[in-house]
Amino acid sequence: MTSAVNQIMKTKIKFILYAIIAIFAIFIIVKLFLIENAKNAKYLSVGEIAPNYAFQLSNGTITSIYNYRGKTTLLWFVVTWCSSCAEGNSVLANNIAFFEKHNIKIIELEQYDDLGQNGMPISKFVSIYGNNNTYVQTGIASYNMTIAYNTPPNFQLDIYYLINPSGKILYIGEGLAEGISTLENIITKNKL
Amino acid sequence: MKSTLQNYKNIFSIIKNKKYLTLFIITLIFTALSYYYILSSSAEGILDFGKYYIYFDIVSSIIISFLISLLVTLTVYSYKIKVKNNNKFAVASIITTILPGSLCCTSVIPSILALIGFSTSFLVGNTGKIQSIFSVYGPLFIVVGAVIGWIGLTQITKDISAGCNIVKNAVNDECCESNYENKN
Repeated sequence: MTSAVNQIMKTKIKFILYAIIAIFAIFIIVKLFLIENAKNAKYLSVGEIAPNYAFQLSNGTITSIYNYRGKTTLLWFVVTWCSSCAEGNSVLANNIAFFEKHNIKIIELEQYDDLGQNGMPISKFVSIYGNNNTYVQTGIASYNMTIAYNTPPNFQLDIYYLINPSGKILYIGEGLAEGISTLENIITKNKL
Repeated sequence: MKSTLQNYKNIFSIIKNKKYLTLFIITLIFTALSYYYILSSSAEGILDFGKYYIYFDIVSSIIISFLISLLVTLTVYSYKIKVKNNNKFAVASIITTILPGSLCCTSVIPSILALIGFSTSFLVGNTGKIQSIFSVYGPLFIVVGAVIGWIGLTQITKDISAGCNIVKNAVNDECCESNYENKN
C-alpha cells in the first residue's frame, strides 16, 4: 500500500512538472513571437513625430493630432470596460492639478469599437471613474488610429503618449495608474 | 452537523501542532501578500465597487490566502499520515483567482491570438470580447475561487478524519498524527 501511494505521488509530481514546463514553453514561444513581430511591425517610438489622425470628440467636433501642436499633449488610449483604465482615470483625477499647472492638454480616446466589447460611452466612463473631471477631453479613435498607436499583437488596453508642442513623442507608457509618477517626473524634468 | 463540527475540531488540532502552525502562517503571509499585489495592481473590483475596490481586494486576499494556506497545510499533513486526498481544489482555487489579473488588460490574449494566426482586424474586433470577461466578471472569479477553496477544505477534512479513524482508534481532541506517532 505504501509503495502504491508513493507511486501515485511520483506520478502526480511528474504531471505537475510537465505542466510547469509546458507553461514555460508557451511563454517563451509567445515572447519570441513578440520579439520577431516587433522587428517587422511598425511600433511608434520615443523621438518620432506623433502620426496625424483625425478623431471625433465627445461633443461631436472632428479634430486631429496636428491641431494640438503648440501645447504639450497627453494622448491616452483606453477601453471603457477595463479596470486598469478605470483606475487610471481615478488616479489622473487626483493628480489633475499637476497637469493643469503645467498646461498639459489631456485627450482620452476610446479605442476603436472598444476593441470589440462595447462598454459605456467614454464621457460617462471619465465622469464616473474620473470624479466628474472636465479637464480631460474625451473622444473616439478610428480603426487606423487605434492600430497606429496601439500596434498588434502587442495590444494594450491602456496606453498613453506624451507629445511635446512640436509634435514629437517624448514618452510612451502602459497603465497610467502605475506610471503617473514617472510621467510627472518627465514633465518636470523637461520643463514642460 | 456533528461530524462537520468534529472535522473542524480536527483541523484545529492539526494546526495546533507547531510545525503545521508554522507552515500555515508562512503560507498565509506569502499568499496574502501575493494576492494583495495581484488584485490591487489590476484594480480588481473597481468597476463594481468604485473607490472602495481596495477593501474588496484586501478582504479577498485575506479569505483566499486563509483557505489556500489551510488547504496546503492539511494536504502536507495528509501526505504525512498517508491519507489519500484530492488536492486539485487548491490548484483550481489558485488558478481561478489569478485568471482575471493575468488575462485581462495585458497583451497575453492578443499575442496568443496573433500567434495562432488571426488577423489584425480580428484582434481589434474581438480581443475585447475575451478580455472583458476577466475584467467585468473579475470579482465573480474571486468568489468562485473562494468557494472552490472552501469545498476543497471540506473535502480534505473529511478525508483526514476518515483516514484517522481507519489508521487508529477514535481521535477525539488529539492530533491524529501525534497519536499515530505515539502508537509507533
